[in-house]
Formats: sequence, structure tokens, C-alpha cells
Amino acid sequence: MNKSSFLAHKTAIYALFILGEAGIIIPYKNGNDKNFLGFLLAVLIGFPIIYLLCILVKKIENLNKNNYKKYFIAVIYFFVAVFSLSLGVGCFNSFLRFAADYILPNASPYLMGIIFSFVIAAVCLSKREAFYKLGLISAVASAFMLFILFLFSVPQFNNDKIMLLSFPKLKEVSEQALSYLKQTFLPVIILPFFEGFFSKDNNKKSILKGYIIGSLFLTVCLLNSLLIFGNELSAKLDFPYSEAISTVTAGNIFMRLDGFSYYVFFMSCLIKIGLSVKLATELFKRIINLFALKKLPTN
Amino acid sequence: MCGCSGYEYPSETDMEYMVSSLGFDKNGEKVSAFAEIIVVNSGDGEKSPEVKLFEGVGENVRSALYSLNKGLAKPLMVKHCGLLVIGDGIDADTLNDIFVFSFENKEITQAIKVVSTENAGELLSLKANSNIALGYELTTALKQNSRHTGIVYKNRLYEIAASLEKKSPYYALPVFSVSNDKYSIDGVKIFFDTNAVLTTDEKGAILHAIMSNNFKNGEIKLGSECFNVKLCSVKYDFSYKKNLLKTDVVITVDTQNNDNLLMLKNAIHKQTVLKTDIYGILDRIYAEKPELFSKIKDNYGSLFGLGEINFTVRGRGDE
Repeated sequence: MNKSSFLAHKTAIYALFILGEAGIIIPYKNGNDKNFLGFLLAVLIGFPIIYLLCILVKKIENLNKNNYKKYFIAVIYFFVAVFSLSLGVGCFNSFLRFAADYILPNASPYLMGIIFSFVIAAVCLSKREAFYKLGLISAVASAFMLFILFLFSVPQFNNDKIMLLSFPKLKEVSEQALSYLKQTFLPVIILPFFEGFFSKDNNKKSILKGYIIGSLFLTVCLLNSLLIFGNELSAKLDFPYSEAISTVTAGNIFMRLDGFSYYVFFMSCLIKIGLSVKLATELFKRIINLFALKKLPTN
Repeated sequence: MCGCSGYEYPSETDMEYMVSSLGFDKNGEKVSAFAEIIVVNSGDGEKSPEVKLFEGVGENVRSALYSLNKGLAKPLMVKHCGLLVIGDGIDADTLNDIFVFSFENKEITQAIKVVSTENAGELLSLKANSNIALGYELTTALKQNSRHTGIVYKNRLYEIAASLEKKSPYYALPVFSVSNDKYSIDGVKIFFDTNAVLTTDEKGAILHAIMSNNFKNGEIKLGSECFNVKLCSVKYDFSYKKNLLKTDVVITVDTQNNDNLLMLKNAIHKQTVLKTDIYGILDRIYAEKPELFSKIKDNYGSLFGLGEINFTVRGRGDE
């Protein structure tokens, strides 16, 4: 398979990366009635940032790795690798907390942690093509489930919950936007590094498309919670999306559909952690290669 | 082997008691917890599912639930609990404990409906007519009542939780009464935070729903007349001068004729406007006039009680 045929796969992986654990958690605890506007503002601000980063990463990649530039590049790689790992660990913790509270409340969290770690290890050790294929299948299934659950939730939506009856102050909206930028969209800065170093493509299109699709996924999750619970209650809940879906019924027969959301979060967290670890591994190898006499094989 | 002996392994619903509804009463210092349980009997094809009511008594909600669980052979499965019944004897603190328990228990769905009655045990001991469990039947009865009367009941647990987060934390629980072994829905009990402030009959419930913009399209009986009312819009106007808060609420409705409109106008005009904001006025001020909200938020309780609130009803053609 040639590089361009993985475009859809990488778009899917980036979309799931953005969904990550944010889909379970948003809106954040400091959410207020300007929540949704703040989220939209954050999406808009994130887009040019990631575009510029794509250009910057390409320049870093093309830097002549002579003596002093080698150290500069190594420092960048190191910080990005550590940041990437921290994202993976954060996502792992969030998902484990969710699993302990909702999916398997009677099971030992240590046992769940071990099982989840094995699954992550399998994904991290998988070949690039296998990871891409997993990402594409998961993204398609997740999109379908998010869409269907949103449709089933519509009868319970109350538009008054997010309606703004007066013009919002920029300060209030920007406070909310900052929260989303820091916690949801800042992690996206590692995607150009993944695209450039792991997939060796540096194709901006897949990142930008993935960003748009991932933001759409997050919008669906956020609206689902806000339109059912409202801003204040959603901000108080630990996992608003799952709680919102648990209130949804399909006809008179199907109730407690939150089980379907478990798959979406499992796959998005798995992909996010897998991507973070793969990138960190690749960057550490590159740091070693910069200074080693004999080059280590990279992915 | 299981095939030879004819024994079938029981399903999950046989390893736990499936709870269809929960109820709480308070007599003096003792709290009673009730659980309506469906015994599925999946291991025996000859036996139909049956319903049982279990009770536990304690000093508070948790000890009552502990006492309820202690006396059972299997644990309770509350994942499919559809109804929470609050008896009239439940005070504000106990109601708060019930809500805390319900919110913290991740197995209880946030969509569970909450209703009020005089005696929760008496209501839950009635036999269901059209469903295996009374709890599920009552939720269906509520839906039917909402369609008929036009009242938008916001009595699911998450709706009550959302109301408690609002500036005016009021909510209305439908009231079930029991007479001659039959139940009926007889109005609503309005709470402000966890304090009961007003109980109304069906007519009062419809009028309150119209006044608080929780009404769609339904039938109301005023005097001997019974007619259809459709709520078109509710508009608010606020003024605050010399420490006096004045609220004008203009309700536009569609009724069958002018006589009906006049009857509705008179009925709403005669409604007692309480000194507690059970109409969501403060939340409207917060949404529409944030500057006014910041001026009055600290002493809103007294301002509302001393202020004026005028409800005006107009016909659609009067707009």
C-alpha cells in the first residue's frame, strides 16, 4: 500500500485522538452558560495554530543536523516526547476512572488497569499499518454510534438550556475557551510531529481533516450533555456524556443505552494512548540517533 | 450435566432482585424505604414473574436502605428502577439525603422519575393493572397525563438536579393519591430547594405550568367548562426602582374562543402568587438582564417577596 492510501486512516486516527478522553469529560468543571460558545471559539483558535505547527515541524525536520542544531532539535524532541507520554498517562488515568465508576464498578481497578495495559501494549507494539486500520474501523464505528445516540437523544433536548438571551461578554467566553484550549486542543500540537516523524508523510490535509472531524465528534458529545442536563449540571458531573446517554430510551424497549458510549471512549482512549506512546518512542529513538555512531532502526 | 437433570442456570436477573421502583416515608423519627421488586423466575418456565414489596426502617435514609438490604436473600439491582416515590412525611433534610443517595448511586439512572404521594408504602402496595410492576405503570400514567393536560413534568432526577443548580431552585413533583385501591394523579407538589412550598390540585397544576412556562398544549377544566389551551409564548419585563422589583409576565395562549380566554385570564389572575419564586423569574433575569441580576442577587429573596409580579394573559389575536 502506498503512503497516500493511508490518508483516510490517519484522518480517522487524528479525529479519535482529539475525541480522546475529552469526549467523556466535557464540559469541564468550570463550565457556565457561555460554555458552548467558549468551545466553538477554542475550535476556531486551534485550527490556525495546528496549521502553523505543521509548517514548523516540516522546517525542524529539514534542519541541517550539525553540531549545535543537533542539541536544539534533541531538546524539542525530548519535550514533545515527554509531553506526548504525559498525554497518554492522563488519558489512561481518565479512562480507568471512568471504567471503575461506570463500566465495571464491582471489579478491582488494579485488575482493570492491568488488562487495559496489556491491550495498550498490543496496540503500541503493532505495526504501523495495523494501527492505521484499527483507527479507521474504530472511527467509522464511533461516528455511527455518536450519530445514532444523538438522534435518540433529540426528544429529550431542551434548547432553552443553551440559549443565550443577552449578548455575552468576551471575557466570559474567552475564559471558557481557554479551558478548552488548554485541556482539549493543546494536546493536538503533537499531531504534526506524529505525521512528520512516525508516518513520515507530513501531510497537512490529514491532520486538518482529522481536526475538523474530531471537533465535530466533540461537538456532538458536548451538545448531547448540555441539551439534556444544561450547563450547570453538566459541569458538576464527572462523566456527563455517559450520564446523558443513560437517560435516553429508544422507543419503549431499549433503555440505558450508555453501554454504546463505552465502546466509543474505549477506542478513542486506546488510539490516543497508542499514538502518544508510539510518537514518544519514535522521538526517543531519534534523539539517540542524533548522537549515536550507529543508527537505530526507526519505524 | 445440566441437560440431563433439566436444571437451567439462573440468569443475572435471578441472581439479583430487579427493582422497578423505590419509595421513602417518614413517621416521626423513623425513615422507611420501600423497594418494589420483580422476581423474574427465569429458571422455571412454568412460573410467571411476580412482584413483591420489601420494606426497611432506619434512623435515616442510608440506615433504612441498609435494613432493607439486610433482610434480603439477594442483592438489589437498581439499574432498571423507573420511579422514586416521596411520601408527604419526608422533611427537607431527608429529601436532601434521598437525592444525594440517588445521585451518588451510579446504577440508578438519572432518568428515574420522582413523584410525591401521601404514603409511599400504600401507593407501591397497589396492584398494577397493565404492567408487571406498578412502578413502570405509574411512569406510563404520568406520560399519558402530560399529553392530556399539557403539563411538561420536569420530574426526572437529572431535571430536579438541574433545577437545584438554578438561581431559583424550584421543581414540581406530580402527586399520586390512593383511593379504593386505585391511584390517580391529583396535581403537583412544588418544592423550592428541598422544602415543599405548595400543593395544588390538577387545575392549579395546569395554571402553575402555564405561569412558569412549563406547558405545551392540553385540556383544562375551569368551573363546568373543559377546553383546550395552547401556550404560544411567555414574555418577561422587569423593572427595579427604589428597591422595588416589578415583574410583568405576558402569557399568550390559543384557546377555542374568547369566553375560554376570559375564564383563563380570571383563573390566573386569582392564583396566589407566593413569596417564593416558584416561577423561575430570577433565572429569566439572569439570562435577559445580567446587570439587573448582579444588582439584586444578594437580597433577591426579600426583594421578590416585597415586589410585584403581574401575570397577564392574552389571546393569540391580541398580539
